[in-house]
Amino acid sequence: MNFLPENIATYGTQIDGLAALISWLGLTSFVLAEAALVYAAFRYRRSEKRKRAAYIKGESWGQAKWIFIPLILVVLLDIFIDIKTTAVWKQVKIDLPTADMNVRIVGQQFNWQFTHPGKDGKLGTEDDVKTTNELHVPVDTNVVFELGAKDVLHSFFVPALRLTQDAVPGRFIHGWFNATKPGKYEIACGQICGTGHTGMRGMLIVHNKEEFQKWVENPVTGGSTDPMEILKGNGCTSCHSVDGTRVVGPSYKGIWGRSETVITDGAERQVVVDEAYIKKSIREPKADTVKGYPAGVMPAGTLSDADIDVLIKYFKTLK
Amino acid sequence: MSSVATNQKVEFGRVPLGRIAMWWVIASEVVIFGGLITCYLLYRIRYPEWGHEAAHTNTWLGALNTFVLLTSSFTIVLAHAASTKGELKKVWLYSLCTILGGFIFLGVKAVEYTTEIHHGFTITKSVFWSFYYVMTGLHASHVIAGMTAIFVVALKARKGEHLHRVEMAGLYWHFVDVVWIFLFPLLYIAK
Amino acid sequence: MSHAMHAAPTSFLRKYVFATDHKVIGMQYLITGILMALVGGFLSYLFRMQLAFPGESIPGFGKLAASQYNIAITMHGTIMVFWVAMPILLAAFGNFLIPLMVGADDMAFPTLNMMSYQVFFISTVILLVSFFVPGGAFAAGWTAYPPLSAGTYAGSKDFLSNMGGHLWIIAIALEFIAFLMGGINFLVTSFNMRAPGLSWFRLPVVVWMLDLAVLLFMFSIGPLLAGAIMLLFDRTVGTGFYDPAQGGDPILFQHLFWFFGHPEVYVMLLPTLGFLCEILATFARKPIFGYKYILYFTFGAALLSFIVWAHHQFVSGINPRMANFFSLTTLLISVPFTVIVFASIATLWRGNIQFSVPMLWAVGFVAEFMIGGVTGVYLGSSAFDIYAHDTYFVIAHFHYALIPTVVFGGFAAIHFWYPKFMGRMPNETLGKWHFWITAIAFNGIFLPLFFTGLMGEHRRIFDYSAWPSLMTDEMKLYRKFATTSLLVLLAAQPLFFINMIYSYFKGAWAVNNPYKANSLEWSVPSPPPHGNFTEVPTVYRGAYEFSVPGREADYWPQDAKS
Repeated sequence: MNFLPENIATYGTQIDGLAALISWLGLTSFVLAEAALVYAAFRYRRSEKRKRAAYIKGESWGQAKWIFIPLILVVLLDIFIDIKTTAVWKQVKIDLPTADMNVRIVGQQFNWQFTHPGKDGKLGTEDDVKTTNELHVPVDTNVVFELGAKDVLHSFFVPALRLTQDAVPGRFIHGWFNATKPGKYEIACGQICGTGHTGMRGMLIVHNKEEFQKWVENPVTGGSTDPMEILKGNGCTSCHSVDGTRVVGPSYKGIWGRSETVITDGAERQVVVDEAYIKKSIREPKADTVKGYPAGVMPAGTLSDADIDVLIKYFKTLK
Repeated sequence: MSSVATNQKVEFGRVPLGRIAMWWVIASEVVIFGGLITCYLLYRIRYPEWGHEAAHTNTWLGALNTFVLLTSSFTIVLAHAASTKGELKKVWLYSLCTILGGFIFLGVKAVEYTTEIHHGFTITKSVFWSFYYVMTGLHASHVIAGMTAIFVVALKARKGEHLHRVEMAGLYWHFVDVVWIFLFPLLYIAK
Repeated sequence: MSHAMHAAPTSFLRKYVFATDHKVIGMQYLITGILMALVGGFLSYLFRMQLAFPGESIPGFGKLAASQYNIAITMHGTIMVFWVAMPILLAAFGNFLIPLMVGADDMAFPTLNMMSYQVFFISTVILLVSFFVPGGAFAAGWTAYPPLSAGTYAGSKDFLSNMGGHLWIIAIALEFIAFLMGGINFLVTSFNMRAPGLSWFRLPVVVWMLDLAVLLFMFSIGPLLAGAIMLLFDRTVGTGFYDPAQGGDPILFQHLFWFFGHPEVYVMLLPTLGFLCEILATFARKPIFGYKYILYFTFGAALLSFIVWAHHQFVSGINPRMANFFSLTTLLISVPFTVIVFASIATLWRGNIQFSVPMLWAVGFVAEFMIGGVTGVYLGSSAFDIYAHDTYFVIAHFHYALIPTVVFGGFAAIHFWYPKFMGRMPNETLGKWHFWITAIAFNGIFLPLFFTGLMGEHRRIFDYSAWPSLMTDEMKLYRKFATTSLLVLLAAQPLFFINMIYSYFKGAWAVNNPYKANSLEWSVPSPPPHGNFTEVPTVYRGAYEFSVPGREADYWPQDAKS
């Protein structure tokens, strides 16, 4: 009965093993204790045969040992679990292996910003590859990350890696992982960060080694043909609905070609929602704010022109 | 209808009622101030440059206030001693002296705050100053509370009523004094 | 130090509103707590309906927006902990029981007691008002972590409800002050007003537990009160206690919060453990097994509770080496509660058990709380917590600890002492139906959430549609099952209200001691008159002398001379 999702992290095996150990020990003690409780409750019910309780105060050793001996067992089991825990914790959170690859992860309201080293293999240089919501790594590689946050607390949670680390503004926290299987895996935000927390989703994309090299040469993100995949994947749907409901920002329904009153530099003006306006709204959201909506809330999106074209095609159908 | 002897709490009293209550109040306040002071200490250790900010508190005025509070703690002890001997006039007099000490303390603090704000050291200037104003402000509000308590108690005590309360009010005043004894070196001396 | 007993009040206002009688004050806290439970329960109805049927209009409300969802979960947690658990378990029953169980006419400071309820009442009003201010109530989670809760980040002032958050902090601070005021009474009354012969070790366990809870609360609340003041200043004045841009530290708040937050769960638990002891002994007709051990281990737990707090912060960015310490202390804190579970089973062993409604709730508490306890081991283990943190596994764990504590414990106590305070017997049939439906439905809500949590479902999410791996048929089924179980549980609650109200008017009259128990509250009429005792009782023995060999009766009241 395994409810845990597929594990692709090297240390994930140890974490899952710990869970299994706790399950065995915990479940066994639990079943025994519940059985004792249920048995006692039934066996000693008031009945015709049973007229009086025994006067047992439990203070002498002869009586109290029935509690203390199981208790000592429990303590020993606890200590055993703690020793195992310490070993696994050390591996994941204390020891940092030599990095095969460094990445920088910054959580913000409401998307993930990733910075990968570019062709030169070094993080912090001109050719770094910046992406929104997509973390690209090669398989079987020690990836050491520095995790930060721009505004509020976020939390970098990748279930397939069994990894969680809170992102705290004002500091960079280091961690690591090594993914053992190529594929696409969800990244969640594990700390309430505002109204858009729900849609703050990233993807961990693990490439095999040749494909990763190719990606580094030509870093492409997105490329989905499904508009909803783009909208959800970039966190847009956290604040914009497609059915007309007002969430935080304007709904996409009926948006194409609409004449809108916006506030630019403090002054009102009329715009028509066309391709240029949409591109500007995504890339420079603070420039114009639709009248009646909160200003300065939307973070800049890093969609490619191709992605935006897919969206525009979709908006045209949303009457 | 008849009810149980209501001096029960006195007759069976193992510890004088008012005293436990006052210690409870003091204990809970200790944890509040303790929490604040601990946070301040942790920050101070992490940011040694706060020493520069602290240089702008007025150590002389702080020392004056320390002297004022200590003296007022002394006068409330005298008031308590007088209350045990039933010397009502002295109770009233010494209580007023204590309250006067409180006023002087608050006055000095007002001068300090005005000067500091005038020089731009406002509550938002840096986290050091945020702590400074919150800690001394919270303390000052407790000084006011203490002065009020002493006054209310003294009003009755001068008529001979509830003389035991002078000790309780005094205990609270000593607590307020002790908090200041912690704040003074932290904010004024460590530079 | 004389203090004339307040004469029995006559006007409606003095009797029921500005009352100084501990029994009335207890009732005020109880009713407020129950009403707030309805509010908190309604909020859970809203968000669980949204989770099971995302985007659909909720009957009785309409569509729930994302911002409203965050308000609902925040206020649900806040209300349940501070405005339901504490007033019912600690304030109401502490007020009802302590003076009676020690043989006193009232609490030591009746006027202060009255004022504590009034401050609490004001805090309740402020909290409820916060729902209706522009922007709505506070929405940053009941844990209120900054910077989100401090509103100190760029653009935040438009975004978060400002007034709602300010009012939340003020309401909470007032609630803390009310409980500090009430707490003095518990301790001083227990210290000073015990009847002759009532030594500490002859007191019922519940009095110890209530006193210990109040001490725990007092010692742990200070830093959070300081932290809340700092948060309020960050929000209103623009200080930077928690703002990294100004040199502050967001994690400081977490430490302040959880330094209180962990002892707080024992503040809630201890009264229920007390109720458990009274009820088990009474309906098993046996002394509590290991009275002194229970007390000593509970003291140990209380002390230990001050050094486990950072298990809430394993992955928060604290120094990872600190985690080892907290993992060890957290695993060890299961020890005292294991003692109590074993002692409960041992109390039933060779007993003469009658499954009255209070007994059902009490035994049910032990059975269910064990699930909360065992699942806590997964979370106390720092390495597994890396995965489980902020998933539904945590939610399921703490509800399996808190609902037995608050709901099972609360109903147990209400049913057990109902005859004493209302003067009538509650209806057993209604009580039993209410118990079984509630207990079974409760499991239906939270068992599935262990599984969804293990499957990676993270917390405080309004709509999982953006997450394909969390929108499998299996997960949708679990969510619907949980919500349906909640509906069943809510539907069963009218049984309780009907029982309480009907029995008050039409229930059988209650005698002094309908359950043939031993502690002093059962020696006075039901309900007790103003002043409780016509003469000060004298106590000759402990509270658990049931089925003493050689005595014909299977109970022996504490104040019976022979």
